[in-house]
Amino acid sequence: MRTPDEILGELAESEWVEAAILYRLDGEIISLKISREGYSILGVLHWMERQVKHVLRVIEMEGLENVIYTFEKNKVIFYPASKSTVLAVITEVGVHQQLLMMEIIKAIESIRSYMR
Amino acid sequence: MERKVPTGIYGLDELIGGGFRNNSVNMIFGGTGVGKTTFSMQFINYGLNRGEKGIYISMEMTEEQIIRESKQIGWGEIEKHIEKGRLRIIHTHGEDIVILSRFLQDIEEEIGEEEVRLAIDPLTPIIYNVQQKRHRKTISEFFNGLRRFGTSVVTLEEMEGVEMMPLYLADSVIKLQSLGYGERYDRTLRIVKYRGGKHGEGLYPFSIERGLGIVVDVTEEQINRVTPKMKYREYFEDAKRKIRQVEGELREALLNKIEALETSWTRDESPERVLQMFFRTELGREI
Repeated sequence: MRTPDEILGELAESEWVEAAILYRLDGEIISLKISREGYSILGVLHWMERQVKHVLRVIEMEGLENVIYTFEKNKVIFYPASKSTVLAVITEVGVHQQLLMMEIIKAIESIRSYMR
Repeated sequence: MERKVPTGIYGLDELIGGGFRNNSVNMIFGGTGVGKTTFSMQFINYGLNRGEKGIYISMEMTEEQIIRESKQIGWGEIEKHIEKGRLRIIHTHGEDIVILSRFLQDIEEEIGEEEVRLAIDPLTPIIYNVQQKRHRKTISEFFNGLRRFGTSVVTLEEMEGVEMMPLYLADSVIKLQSLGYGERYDRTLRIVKYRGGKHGEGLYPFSIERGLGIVVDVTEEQINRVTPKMKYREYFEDAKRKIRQVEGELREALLNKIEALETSWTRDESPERVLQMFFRTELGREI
């Protein structure tokens, strides 16, 4: 069975993904993989560090399917991955949404089977 | 090299360079029912089974309860250790411990000369009792006393109103959590602090298995991140050769620094750039 590090590593290798982070619902980072480093992504990571607990709480309380935040150059998509984890994916604005979603759903299935 | 004391917790020692530091105070911190007592008993039991001596100071459970819990996990040998005098269980109440220096004397009388594995489970009622003006100094002196006796595991309950000062004074802090979602990352361990060495910085899931106790789920990749990389030995040997040409007292100090750097070089990248910086700063030139 693949570990979260391996699953996110593969996701971060995708050409549409700049970073993938798996959070536990309390905001603890389980795994983090960054594919490209840049100032724009550092800004987003900094924002996430401050906001993630609030975002995760809203996702859990409202039972949201996903949450998308759009910045000037980047987009952050939060997806509940299992009962206690949320996957966050950072991409560039304007990536092919459907292809990206296929990659995310594949990763989520692997995370779910690992978490069981 | 400093002697390490194996924790007996499956998977943990690989994340902290072989175990706790000898003569150290190690804090296990977490909410109720998370595994703090199991951690303490497992630490003590590992040493007992290898001929070491142990003292278990319990603020909650009686000796009978501890024996029962140990048997429940599968450590029935605990009774034999008590009979042979290798393990001493002290059941006391935090409210009865008014002066920590006297409490240390009491422990010392139990221990004698030999170094022991010591557990205090939990420290919380003692902390409540000694809250006073010179609180930090009092706890610091208490921990220094414990360090004289051997290597200690001290548990602290995470709850509102509990003083966090002991976390700052301990040599290492391990946080245990349990969220209760019924998934793999429900029970997790994080090494918050580990004085004097590198440690794994991840969030590690763990389980409590009958017979074994706490088993930390660590991957090869995670172990690799905290394992010194021997493949760069040549760079360090070369640096040491160059330092040996330096004259005076500085030579020994520089050699110590390089040896410490070598044993903690866990990065995958070559140390070449860091070594160049080292020579520029220490000697004013690259060698």
